[in-house]
Amino acid sequence: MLEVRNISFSWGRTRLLDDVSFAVAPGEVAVIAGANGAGKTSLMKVMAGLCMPSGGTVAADGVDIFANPLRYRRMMGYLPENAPADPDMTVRAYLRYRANLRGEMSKKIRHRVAEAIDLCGLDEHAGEFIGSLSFGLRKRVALADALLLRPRFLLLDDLLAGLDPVTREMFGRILAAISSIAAVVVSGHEIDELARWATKFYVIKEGRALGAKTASGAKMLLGLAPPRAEGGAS
Amino acid sequence: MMRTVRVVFARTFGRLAPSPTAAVAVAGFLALSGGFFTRALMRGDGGATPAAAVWALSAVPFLPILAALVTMRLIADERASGRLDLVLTAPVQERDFVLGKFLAAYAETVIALGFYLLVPLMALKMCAPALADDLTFASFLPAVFALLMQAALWCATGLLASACFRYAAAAAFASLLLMLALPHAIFWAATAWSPVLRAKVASMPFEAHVVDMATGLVSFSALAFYASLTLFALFAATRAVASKRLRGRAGRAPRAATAAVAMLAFVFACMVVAFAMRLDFSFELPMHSGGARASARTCQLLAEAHGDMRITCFLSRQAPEFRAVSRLLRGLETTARRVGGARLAVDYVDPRWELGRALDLVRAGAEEGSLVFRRGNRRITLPLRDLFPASTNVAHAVGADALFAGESVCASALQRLSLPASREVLYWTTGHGEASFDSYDPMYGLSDIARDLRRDGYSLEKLDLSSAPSVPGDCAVLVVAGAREPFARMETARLEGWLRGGGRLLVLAAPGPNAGVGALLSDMGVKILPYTVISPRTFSGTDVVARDFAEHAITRPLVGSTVLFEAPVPLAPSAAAQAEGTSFTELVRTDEAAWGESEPATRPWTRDATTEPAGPLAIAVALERGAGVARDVALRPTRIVVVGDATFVANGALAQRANANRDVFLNSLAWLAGLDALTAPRTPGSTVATGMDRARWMRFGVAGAVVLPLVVLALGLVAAFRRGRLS
Repeated sequence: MLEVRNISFSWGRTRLLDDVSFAVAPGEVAVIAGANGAGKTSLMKVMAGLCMPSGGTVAADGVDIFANPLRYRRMMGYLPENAPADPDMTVRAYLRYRANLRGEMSKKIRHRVAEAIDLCGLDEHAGEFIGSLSFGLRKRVALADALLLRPRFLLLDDLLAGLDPVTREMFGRILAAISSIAAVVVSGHEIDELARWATKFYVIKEGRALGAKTASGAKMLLGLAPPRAEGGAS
Repeated sequence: MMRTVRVVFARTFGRLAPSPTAAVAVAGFLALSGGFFTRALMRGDGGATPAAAVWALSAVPFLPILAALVTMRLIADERASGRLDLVLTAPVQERDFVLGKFLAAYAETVIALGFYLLVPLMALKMCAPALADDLTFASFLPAVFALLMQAALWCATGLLASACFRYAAAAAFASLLLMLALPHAIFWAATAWSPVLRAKVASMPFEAHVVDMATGLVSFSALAFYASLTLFALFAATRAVASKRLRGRAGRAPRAATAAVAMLAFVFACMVVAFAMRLDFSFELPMHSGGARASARTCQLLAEAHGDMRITCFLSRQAPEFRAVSRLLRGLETTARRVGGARLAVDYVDPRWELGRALDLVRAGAEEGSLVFRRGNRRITLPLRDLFPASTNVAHAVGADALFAGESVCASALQRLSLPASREVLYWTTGHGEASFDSYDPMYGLSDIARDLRRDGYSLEKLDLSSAPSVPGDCAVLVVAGAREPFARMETARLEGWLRGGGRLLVLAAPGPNAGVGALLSDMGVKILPYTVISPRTFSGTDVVARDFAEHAITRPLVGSTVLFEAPVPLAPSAAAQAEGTSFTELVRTDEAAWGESEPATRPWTRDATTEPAGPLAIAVALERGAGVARDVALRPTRIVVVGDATFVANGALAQRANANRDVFLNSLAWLAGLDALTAPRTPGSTVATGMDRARWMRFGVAGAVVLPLVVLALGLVAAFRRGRLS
């Protein structure tokens, strides 16, 4: 269970997040939506431990991000917005390096890497240099990296941005598969597509996280569509 | 911890080693250091600074540049590409990440130093066989250690800069600012502003540390300096990486706290250094227990002397001269123990702490900054300024270009202590365009050699033969130093009469068969030929390098040394040299490729085989008449030494390069004065006397500064190509 409790975050004089709280349990896929600059990425970074909140805390299975950061990070899979990876390495070497760096046991690394490559459909590209791959493939590599050690929770920032429909579909299937064992938090603007796998939505608006049960509810909160009878904001 | 460090190290080094940037950086470092090493070795050839110190000093200015280029991307690139976020979200301590990066950069720098070590151990060894015994890995180990310490500091500093900037170029610029500009600016500003500091700190600590370490003196303060500052830089780099988690307004206070902690850490590191300097603890490495190496002459003096001698160094330990002087005294002490003979004891009186002993010395007439030599009741006080030639300021006395004369000066003092208290008188003729022994002209004056002569116990007097009725009776040797006008008939007659009565004459011959005493010399047995010697074995083109010495009392101990002559004239025996009871010895000869050029003003020089004499040509000769003649063994033999170069021991010639000119001259005087025993070379045991001529220097320079860097560059680029980094 990933719990975000009363997180507030300011950038300069701008208050981006104000007392944001929510929880995501294993088996759930939470979508964080919001306008550009609303604070989605900031929230993801706070949850990943890359930004310092002015108040509140984040905990995973009771492990606090500030009290026990190493243990917290061990449970986390994180895909940043721009999907950075080492261009001088082959896909397989990069994933091995990342598994090593994250402390996976040596005898399990080969298996974990093979599993992640298989899951993300990178078999044909495993021997290629990352620098020679397209953006979509690089994002797949970054997702494989996030999934590498079977994390307890996944933070996927702007997951579908810049991807073709086929890759989006694949990422959706991966999300569905991984959500059975991990709590997943995805940020992005593609509410309709994410709605196929999402179990809940949070819209960041004026610093607050507003919950929605459905995509249309989230859209309504964003001011994109009128509310429908079957869903609504909470 | 170790696993993360190992993983980060392996990844970073695997990325760094085959990169074109690293290949260019290492090749550039090798080219610059190799070039400077060649130049410094040439200029300091024969000086007291060991080859290992010259080698290390040549790399000191370029090591920071190498470290800056190697480290600039290590964290800045990770940050710019966003990969640093992936590291920060992994269960990894920032400390381990920084340490892994540091070790990778350090390994690359160590590899570069390994290649640089090939320059002396392979290239120099091949080009200068005379130095082969000194060029061992063990003898370079302390110098390597000194550079490794500096490399650690520079790599850590570079990493700190890389952690603070998003762009590699900015990181490199900041690194260079921290490593080169800032320390030099502080040094120059502090020494310019404070005379006290100027007196305490003679040269940049980075250079002084390297020289100390390379000569076997390890000071605790130097170790503390590098260790504490390296640890500080690594700590600050770790905090800089960790502060990337502190984005946002709430991170302001923790960021300020991080900066404050870093400042405190820096203050703590400085305090550690200050404390270590205050302790002033140092030790000598066993392999270098001899300190500065003693010359054969000093060894001979100490071996032949007996009784107890004591040297008191009356000098503050913080004085800039102290390191060089203490190294010298340690060398003398060890040499005395090794060769037997006199028992030499050295003690130090620091006027800051030992006030009672300092007062005793002052009452005895010694001033602060002097060496007091004592044997029984005899005492010689030597001001330390005498140890440093006038042309060399103290700040450079520890550098590669220093012509530190301490060993020779101390040996002279020991010699005077061990000999009876009598002084031989040398008369120098005047009035024919001779160079004067009291001229301080930096090129043509003879003040340097005159100082040496006085230290050796000679008295120097001028003699005008046109007004003097005869050569004075106390004249041990008459010196004609570069007379260009012919002597008058009356002068020649007086001189000839004195010579035939067992006089001793030393002539530095100016060009022209009749210049000076040319005519008289011809009558006595030495003919000055009307040519100028040209040789392919040359440094500047006009000078001649000679290494071919005769088996003679003057030159016997100088085998393996190099003598330099500036446009010398060749000498040959005249008909008188064939007379019974006359021995004519060609003391120094050129090689076979030299010849006598009749028109030296016309270039290019080519030998006319029909008229011009071919090498080897004699350019210094000794003539003895009347020695060993059975019918009159009581007759004092006439001795004449002629050197075919009027500027042979001029100030410019002695300061120019390593050469045994001083030895040849002083040995000649000793032989002429009948002091044949004291003729061992004064230059310290061939420390850096490479004995290389111009062609060999060229070969060495090309091998060290061109070929090796190109090979390394090619290897690096091939590795980069194979790793797909050039595609």
